[in-house]
Amino acid sequence: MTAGDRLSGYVDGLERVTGRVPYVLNMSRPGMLHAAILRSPYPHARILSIDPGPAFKIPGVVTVLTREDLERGLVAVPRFGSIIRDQPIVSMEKAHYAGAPVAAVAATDRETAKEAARLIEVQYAELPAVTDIEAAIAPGAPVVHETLDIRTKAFPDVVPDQSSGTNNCNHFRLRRGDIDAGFAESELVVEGIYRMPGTQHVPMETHVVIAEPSVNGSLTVWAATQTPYLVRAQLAEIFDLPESRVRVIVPTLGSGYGAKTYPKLEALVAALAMKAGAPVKLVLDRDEEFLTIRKHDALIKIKTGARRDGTLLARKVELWWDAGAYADVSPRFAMFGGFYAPGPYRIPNVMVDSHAVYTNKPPAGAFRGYAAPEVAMAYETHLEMVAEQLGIDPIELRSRNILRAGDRYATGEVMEDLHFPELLDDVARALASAPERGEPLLPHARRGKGAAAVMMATITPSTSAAVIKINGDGSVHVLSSSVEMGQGSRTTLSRIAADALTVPLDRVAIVDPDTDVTPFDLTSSASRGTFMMGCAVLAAADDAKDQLLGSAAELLEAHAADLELRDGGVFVKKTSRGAPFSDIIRSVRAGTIVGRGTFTTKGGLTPGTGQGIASAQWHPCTAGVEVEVDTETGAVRILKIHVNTYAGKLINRTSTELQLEGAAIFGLGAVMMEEMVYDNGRLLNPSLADYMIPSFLDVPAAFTTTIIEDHDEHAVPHGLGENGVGPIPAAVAAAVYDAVGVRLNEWPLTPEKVLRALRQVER
Amino acid sequence: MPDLDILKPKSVSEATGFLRDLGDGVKVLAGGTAVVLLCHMGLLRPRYLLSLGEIPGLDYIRFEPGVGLRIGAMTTHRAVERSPLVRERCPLLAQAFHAVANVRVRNQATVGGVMAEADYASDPPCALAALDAQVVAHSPRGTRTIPVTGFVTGFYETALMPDEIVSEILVPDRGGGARGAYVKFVTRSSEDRPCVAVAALIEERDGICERLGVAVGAVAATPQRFVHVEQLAHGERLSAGLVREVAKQYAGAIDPIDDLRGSAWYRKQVIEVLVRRTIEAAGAVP
Amino acid sequence: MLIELALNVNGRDHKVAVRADETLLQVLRDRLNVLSVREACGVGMCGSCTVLVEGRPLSACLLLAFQVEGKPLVTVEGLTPDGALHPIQEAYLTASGFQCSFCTPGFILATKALLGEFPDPTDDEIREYLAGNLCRCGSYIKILQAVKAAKERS
Repeated sequence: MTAGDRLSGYVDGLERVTGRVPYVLNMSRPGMLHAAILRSPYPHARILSIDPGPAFKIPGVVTVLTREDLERGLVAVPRFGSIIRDQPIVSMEKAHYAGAPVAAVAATDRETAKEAARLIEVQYAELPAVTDIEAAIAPGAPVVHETLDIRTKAFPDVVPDQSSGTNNCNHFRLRRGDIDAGFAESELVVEGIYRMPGTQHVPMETHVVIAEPSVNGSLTVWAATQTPYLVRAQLAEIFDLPESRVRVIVPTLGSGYGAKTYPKLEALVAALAMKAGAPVKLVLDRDEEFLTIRKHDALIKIKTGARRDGTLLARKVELWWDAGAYADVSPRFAMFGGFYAPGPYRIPNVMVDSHAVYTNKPPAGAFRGYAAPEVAMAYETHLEMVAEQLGIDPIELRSRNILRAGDRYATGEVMEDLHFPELLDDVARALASAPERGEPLLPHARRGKGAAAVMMATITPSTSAAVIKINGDGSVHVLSSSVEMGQGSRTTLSRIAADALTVPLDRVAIVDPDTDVTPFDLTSSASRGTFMMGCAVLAAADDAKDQLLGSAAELLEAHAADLELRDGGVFVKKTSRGAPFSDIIRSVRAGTIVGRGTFTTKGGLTPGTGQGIASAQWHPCTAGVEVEVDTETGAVRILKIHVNTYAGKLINRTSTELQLEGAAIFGLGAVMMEEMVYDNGRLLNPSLADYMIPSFLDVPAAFTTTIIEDHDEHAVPHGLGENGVGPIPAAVAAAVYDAVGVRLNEWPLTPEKVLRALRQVER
Repeated sequence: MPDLDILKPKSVSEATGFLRDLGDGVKVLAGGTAVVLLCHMGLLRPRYLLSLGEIPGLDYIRFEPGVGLRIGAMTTHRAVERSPLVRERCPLLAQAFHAVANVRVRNQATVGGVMAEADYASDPPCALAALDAQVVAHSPRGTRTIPVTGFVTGFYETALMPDEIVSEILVPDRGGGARGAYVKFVTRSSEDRPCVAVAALIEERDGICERLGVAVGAVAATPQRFVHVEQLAHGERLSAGLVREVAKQYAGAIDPIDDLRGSAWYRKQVIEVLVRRTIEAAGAVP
Repeated sequence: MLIELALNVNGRDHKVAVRADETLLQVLRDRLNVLSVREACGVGMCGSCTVLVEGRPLSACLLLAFQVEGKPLVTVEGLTPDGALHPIQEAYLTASGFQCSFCTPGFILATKALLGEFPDPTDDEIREYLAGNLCRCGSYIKILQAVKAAKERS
């Protein structure tokens, strides 16, 4: 073990602090060319003609990819999309958004490729565009896609319901009880409309792809992707190759946050590489990153009914998600937003309609928090309003209505392992104490506190598989397609394997995702890695253990049932008679012991009613925030944040804290400062000089976390990478209301919005 | 970018000679934080970059009693903000340079460069306007001094002639009795450019205000100063009421822009609040 | 047209032929294989391309390579002459002041510059100095712990 290893809780800590993390960004292949993309300046336009000829005037340009290549047999299928096949590799008859790839150039270096791309001549005929939700759903609105090619068997949990001839991409319905009766019985009804803008993930490492065709027609892709298997499946379909001839390799990511899930630019780079007959590398510039994938704008209309005693009786929610020009994973996103909409509460009568809507804007897809922060803003503000009108403390009202183990959720599933009472108590206590800094209050400043609760789900059903190899010397390889993107999955999975096999951590090595080698994993997202892949690794370790015990029986002259693993060897229980793995493997001439494990979850929701099992595991999280509002400028200063969650079996406390803190900071960005701003469909701020993300000074000094863990030996890890995002915006909004009595229903809560609201109240 | 040549003059006259001779195709490179960015984004495609980095004697901070602070055009923001001389003689200036961007940008961007760039959201031009500073410009035709208050003429436009470069900034000596404050108001991240910024300088004797200088930045193309409003304070005690009146008149006199950081309406509200608070902060300096 | 530059990077002299418009970031990554310096914003906002030139932190994306000719430039690869871990790197390791680590070298260099200028900074001074380094993963709390630990060690 090196000095660095001893210091770090991470198996790869040393490479992190020495700048040696092997991002795909750092890679090059012999003979590699560089790509640049020409993008549509119009949000919606018919492409009349494309002339790549002028591009070839620049020395060093090797080839240009246009729709002509797609139409002429370079690919079997010109469009892709995990759920709806609506995304062209490069634009075909139409450009669907300002920024859509229209052509791609491969040249000897990036600057040459970019310059050449600028010379390609394209003639457009502009079409009327729909650039927001209201425009897109208006009767007679221009349609982004005239017909839709829907994969009915894409994922077991998502069955898109849409109507052709409209911009409807998916309509998810949840029905429980009798909504009209519920409101009729309610003694108090509140309504509200909430709007959130589109935001971008801003992964520090942008999207990167290297595609290399081989002479025998197979394809290797190194990509910054969170979903290597889904990318492989898509490429195999596009190029009509068996999956055994398509290889996707992911060393690690410079973060993802959902931006790098599902196929994005891999097909474009692969097509360019196929045409060039050489490896091609694409690295997106920061502005291009904004134009590639984002989070949906949201419009939420919510109506809540309650009894005088504070019991929630009915909730009707309509949600619209601006999916942009391509569906990507929006049908599932709309579904999650839909079944999150009731909130983590016992409500007998629920009606939810959640729509993903096409617009002529960059495509929207998975994003850390996955609709929970938006819907929490709506349902938690409603809870605050009900609490205020009934004169009940909001945290107290939450406690009365919040789901407890054994309760049924709005989907009908029985909830377990929520721990909300404990979490709410914890956040109440955290808020009761003053922030660390007891500065005197200036005359124009007002302070307030607020809290919020969310409950996150994970994609269900889903599958993760792992393989464990025990090498001849007893060291261990873990083969897993979980993508390390800073959440510490390499470390977590190494620890799980090390503990299960009683081997020291530094004798375990992770084999990074490589679809030729590491078995199937659905995705590294949805906060599922530690749980799903952790369980798969455990299953693989069990399988390896069974083989070891079976092999050791003869050597140790004992029954397998009397044997156990201890200290990297097999021992007869309660004795010191045993042998290290290496001896056992040698004794049966196995060479290697290969253990495999697959972990699957069951569930799914019935279309039309949204009843069934939405999630194999639910992840609770609450947050408390204290703010100070400057009533003269509307500026909101965050004084204190406390966020807590339930982790189940805790594998790695440090990475858990980092994930919780980091997620909360994501939520802070969304509510305080992040917004993609357009002018008629053209993005105005695709730069970190104009799109703000939280800095050190935007995060309060008083920032604490509580992690509840389960020490039981049968405890299971709970996902939590996204948990912290959800409650923050709603908690800030509640705190602002507490401070100055204005309820804001739009993000970000800029000083201008606060001041306008304050002035309204004054009138 | 094809065909870019770097020129590295060894003197100011060599530099201005290049400007005269090569005309439109030359872009002056001081620190580079603006120029390199614009070139990289493809917004600037000069034929020549005229790098001032090798001209000796442009990086200095001096104080001449009776004259004032003389700061060479190639002095970095960081040098100004950290200079004991500036902190002693003109803390307002140190504050304004400290407010710019981040420490890396401040290590690179120069005093001459920030003036020549005339970015409406820049902090230093606003403070220098309140300080009645002067820009010294050199051309093959000689030297001239341009008051900062007239130096910025529009968005990214200055009074500089095509063959002129900034060689020095001069901040007049106020005799040590002046107190100032610079307040930068952001509406998003702490790292954002300002929505409104105010520089205020007060000279008082026996409680009577002898001179008030107030400039508002980031709200219009140029730093906004209204001498006729400042003069309301001359010869008066700076009471709360008077300060409010000055602030109100400033807000009334300015026609602010709309941008990502705030609407024109919002800027007007903040101008009034911030002018008042900045004058109060300046007055509170011991 | 290429120009020849003499660059001193991490204690070694290099002669590189570069285009006049190449940024220092491009030269370091593409010609000198210094991969700890990364582009994340291209506009000087994020600090992922931080380099120390004569001890001062600068954004490599905002410099043309010729601007640092002849001036000693340091990246994390050159923090120690023999490649052993610098106390600041050890502090970041122990505190786990990172997640995806794309921004980490920039933070480490900024920390070195900070402690060089202010050997005993308060928490607020640390935050202010490092506010120009962005961490989207949100590791700020543990980064602060790392910097404070580094402060104690030096």
